[in-house]
Amino acid sequence: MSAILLKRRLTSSEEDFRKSLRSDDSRIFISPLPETCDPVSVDLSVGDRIFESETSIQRGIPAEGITLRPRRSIVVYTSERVCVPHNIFGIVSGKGSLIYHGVFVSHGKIDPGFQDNLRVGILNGSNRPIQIKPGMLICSCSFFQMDSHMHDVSRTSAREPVKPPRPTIGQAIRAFWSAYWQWIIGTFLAGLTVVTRLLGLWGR
Amino acid sequence: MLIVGDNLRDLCIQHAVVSNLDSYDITSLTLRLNIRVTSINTEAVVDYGKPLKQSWINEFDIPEEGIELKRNVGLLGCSEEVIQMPIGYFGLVQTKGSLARLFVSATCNDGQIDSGFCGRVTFELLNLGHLKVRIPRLAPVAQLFILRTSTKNVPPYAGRYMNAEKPTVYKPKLS
Repeated sequence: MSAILLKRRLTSSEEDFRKSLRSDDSRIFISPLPETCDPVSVDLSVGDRIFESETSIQRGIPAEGITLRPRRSIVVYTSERVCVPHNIFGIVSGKGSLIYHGVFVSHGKIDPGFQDNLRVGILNGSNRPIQIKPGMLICSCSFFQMDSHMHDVSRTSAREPVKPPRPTIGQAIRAFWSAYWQWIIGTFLAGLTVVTRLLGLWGR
Repeated sequence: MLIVGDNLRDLCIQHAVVSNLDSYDITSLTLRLNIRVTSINTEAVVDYGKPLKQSWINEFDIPEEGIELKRNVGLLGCSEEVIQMPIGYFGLVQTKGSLARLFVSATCNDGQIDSGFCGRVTFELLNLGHLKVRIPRLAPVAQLFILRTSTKNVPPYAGRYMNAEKPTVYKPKLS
C-alpha cells in the first residue's frame, strides 16, 4: 500500500469516477473539490449539518455557526462529498492547528466503496466555548492504493454515529460542576453577601 | 506490476488505451494484423544510421487469402488496434504463442511502448523456421502487456514513431 499523489487522482466528475471505479488508475471523487490541496492530503471543511450527540438528532448549522461548550462534543458533516473506488483506502485526521484551541477531532477511515459526506467528531477540550462555522477546515484526508482491488464492495455510506452512553448521576453532577463552577461559586458568594447585609440590618 | 483483470479492462475504458475493447484478454490485449504491410527489398548493403532509400520500400495490402511468409523472410506489419498508452504505464509486446509455435515472430526485440505513445504498433514479422506460413488479415499475431511505472513524472513519448497509422519503417535519429 502506498500513499497516493493526489494531483492526477482527484476528480469532481461523477462520470470520471464511475468509469474508473475498478481501474488501476482509479479516481477519488471529491465535490466540491478544494481549490488547493497538498500533494498527498486534502483538507475538508465543516458542512451545514451536525449530529447532536446529546439529543441524537441532526440539525442545520446557521451561517454564523454554532457554539460548542467546554467538554462537549458534536459530530459534523463535511461540506465535501467523498467517493472512494474499490482499490483505495482513506485515513482521516484532524487539522493540527485546532489543537492550539483545545479542539480534538476524531480520526477515521474511509473504506473502499464509500460514497457520502464524512462525519467527523469534534470535542471542545478547552475551558472556553468555541464557534463551529460552515466552511471551517476541520480534517485532512490521505489515501492509499491497495495491493488489490476488492471484489465484494457494495456502495457504503457513513454509518450513524454511535450514541454516547447515558451518564450516571455522579457523572452528570461532575459535568455540571465543571461547566458551571465559576457561576455557582459567584452566585453563592453574592447570595452570602446579601444575606450577611440583611442580617446586619436586622440586628440594628 | 502487471495490470490484469478488471484493473486492466477499466484502465482501457478510462484512458481509451485500445481502440477495440474486444482486445481485452484478462492479462493482456490481443493485437491483430492490419491489412497494410511493408516490405523492404534491396540487394544493396543497408547502412545502420542512414535512412532507407524510398525505392527499397514497398507498401501493399495483404491479399484476401492472407500473406505468405517464406523462410527467413521479414515484413513490417502493424496492429489493427490503435494504442494510447497512459502516463504512468508501459507496454510490452510479445508474439502470440500460437504464431510462435510456427516459428514466426511478430517482434524482433520484445516491442516496447512508452508512456504517452499513441498509434498503431509496428510488427517485425519474421519467419524464423523451416515452414512457409500464411497469415490471414486481422489474425491475432501479438499481445500487449501493460505494466505500471514507478512514477508518472516522466515526459510522455514524443518520438519518431508517434501517431503511426501504418507500419513505420526504420528512421535513423536526426543528429
